[in-house]
Amino acid sequence: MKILALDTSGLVASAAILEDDRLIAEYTINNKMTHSQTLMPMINEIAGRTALDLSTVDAIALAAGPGSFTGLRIGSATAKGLGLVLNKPLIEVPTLAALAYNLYGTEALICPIMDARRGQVYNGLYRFRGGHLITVCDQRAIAMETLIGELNAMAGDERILFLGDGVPVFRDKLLAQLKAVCEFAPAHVNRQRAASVAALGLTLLAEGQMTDPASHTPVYLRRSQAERERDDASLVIRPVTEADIGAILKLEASSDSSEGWTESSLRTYLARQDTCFLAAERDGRFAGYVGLLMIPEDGDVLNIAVDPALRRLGIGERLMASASEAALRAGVTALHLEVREGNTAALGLYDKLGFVRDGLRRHYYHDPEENAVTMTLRTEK
Amino acid sequence: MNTVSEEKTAAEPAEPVEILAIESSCDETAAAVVRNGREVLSNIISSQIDLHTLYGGVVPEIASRKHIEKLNPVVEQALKVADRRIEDMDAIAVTAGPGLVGALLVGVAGAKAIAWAAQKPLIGVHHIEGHICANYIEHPDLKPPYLGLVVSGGHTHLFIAEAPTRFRILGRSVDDAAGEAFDKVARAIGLGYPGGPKIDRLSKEGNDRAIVFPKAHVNGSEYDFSFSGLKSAVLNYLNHAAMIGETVNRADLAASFQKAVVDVLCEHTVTAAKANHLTQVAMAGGVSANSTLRAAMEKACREAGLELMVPSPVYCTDNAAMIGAAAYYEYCEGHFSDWSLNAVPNLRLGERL
Repeated sequence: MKILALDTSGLVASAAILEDDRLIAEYTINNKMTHSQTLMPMINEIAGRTALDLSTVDAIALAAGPGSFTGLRIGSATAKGLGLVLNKPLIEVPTLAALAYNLYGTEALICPIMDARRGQVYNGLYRFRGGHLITVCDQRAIAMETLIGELNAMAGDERILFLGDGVPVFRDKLLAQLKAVCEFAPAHVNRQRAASVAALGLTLLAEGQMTDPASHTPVYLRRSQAERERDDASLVIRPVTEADIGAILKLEASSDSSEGWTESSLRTYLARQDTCFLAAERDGRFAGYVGLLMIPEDGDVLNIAVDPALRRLGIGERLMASASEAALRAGVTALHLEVREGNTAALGLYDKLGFVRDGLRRHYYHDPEENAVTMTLRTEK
Repeated sequence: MNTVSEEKTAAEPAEPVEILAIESSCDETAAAVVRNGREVLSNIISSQIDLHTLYGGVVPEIASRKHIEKLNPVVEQALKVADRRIEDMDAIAVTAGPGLVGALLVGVAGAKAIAWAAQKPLIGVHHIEGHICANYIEHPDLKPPYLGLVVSGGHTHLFIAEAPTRFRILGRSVDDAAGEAFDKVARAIGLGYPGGPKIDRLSKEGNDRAIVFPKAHVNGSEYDFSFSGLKSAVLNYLNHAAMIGETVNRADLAASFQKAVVDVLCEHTVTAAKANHLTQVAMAGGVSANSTLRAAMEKACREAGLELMVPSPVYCTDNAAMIGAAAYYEYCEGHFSDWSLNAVPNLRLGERL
């Protein structure tokens, strides 16, 4: 199998040609020139130097995101144009998995970080086991604070190996705040390389993971600023009413947890004076809710749920932030909650909102059985 | 689509030239196949206008994301409608500027990859030259030198075309483009985006002499325009009315504003054509689809003994056929781009790529 691979997700522009277990050519530039100017001449150069017969290319692999929005699109548009003319499929390789693949065979936990601005990084967590790249945590945009919290909670004596353009930005912070031993990959493998995109792409191709060029779009992991602002403006947080009961029960029935409400238990809690239920409404439609039990000075989060079709839009965060404010206003000085140990998205959100981990309840959840992490938000005195 | 037979000038090749053109400078993803710069074999446009209406204007990041989704389907459709394969093309053309940089880059990167993989020459095209060349598609009689006026959401230029793609600028807007003023005024009176067509429609119900707005000319420079002052005058009028609690007749305001824009465009055009002894006038760009402007320019030119040419509305707004038309003349002159072609968001008329 012969693969033409591209990576333009960050400052690096990289192109490679790989055939089975042989890297035929790789051209990588990490300089200030724009990808728009460099990428096509680089492809032209390596194809020319190796007398590449384009009709022998089986697929085009690319770092499909996340990364710089414009950078990703230059790679995507290039791959789509090549695929259109050559009539060959694309292999969408997750950018962070391709970065991790640079460090093939390491025993350490691999932690690529790409600077995503606004205090965030694009990150995933990976390990090599039996010659295979294992995704420990799928790629996401995450606040650096949250990532450090997560890594410290994973504890163990495993070494953590960092790479990516987030390293120079956050190196000092990592050294100061991480409990684990951290190491930083050396220059020849610490940034994007199309050879890794090609090699990992080959394994994906073998698993039948390919896309037709017309339907490929990059994985941005983030909405555009205009969409974020519009979504925020179209979101209203208000008290739950009778009219929401049906929607709440339906949402609970569809959720993966089995600790749902019955209609009578929900009505009982809603009627109590020491509870607070808030609903999120997006463009006039019920989108999620949160319920609190408040027995000052302690409060407990009973449940929080967001419509699966509307997740990743910041609705849970707005709900939780409003609920915390309401609780603190009502005289609660410590707000408690528990969350499935494996629910990293929720754990990250609670970290961000200022909740601190203070315990672990073993085998707390059923279907599937899982530990609960307990967390508490305290008012600052 | 229209077919035109004509005598070829010396620079035009004997063999027919067919070009695949791609346009993605703003909020339309478009592709076309054009033969000899005049015969449009296909002209596919995927508009994002409904999406941007939600935000009251074009959002660059959203536009760029949409271009990536539409690029291949639009190109494939253009080839299919033209009943051509990529191998049949003589060149691949793409808008390289001016426009939104992120949006331009999608078309430029895609076109480069298509041209490279298909081993065809690449032609970077100036978007404004494309608008002007839209006139060659339907008006075989149009021959340089002629007087040109480009009016769009981003540009207002008065120029002399000395050759098919060589332009000497006489005047331009010193601030907002005409189309921009339409959008801003439309927003101020609650018409929404896009402003041009909405003001055009509402104006038909209003009296264009109800309110006298200042002319959008610039003191001391005969052919320049200034639409920012006019826009401010409209906003001041609205503020004043709100302060004294007076209801504004929106149709009268729209008609009066539009008249101020149309008058200055017509006056400058006729004056410039006469002063330079030109008999042909070509108007182009999105705003030239405005029915009031078309009628007024038609009348002004007729009275001055000038021949006016304006593209059909479909070739006035952004499209790829016009890029294919402009690319043909670049092809004839041997102007090709190399693989390092970049998007140039601020490219000016007359500036070479």
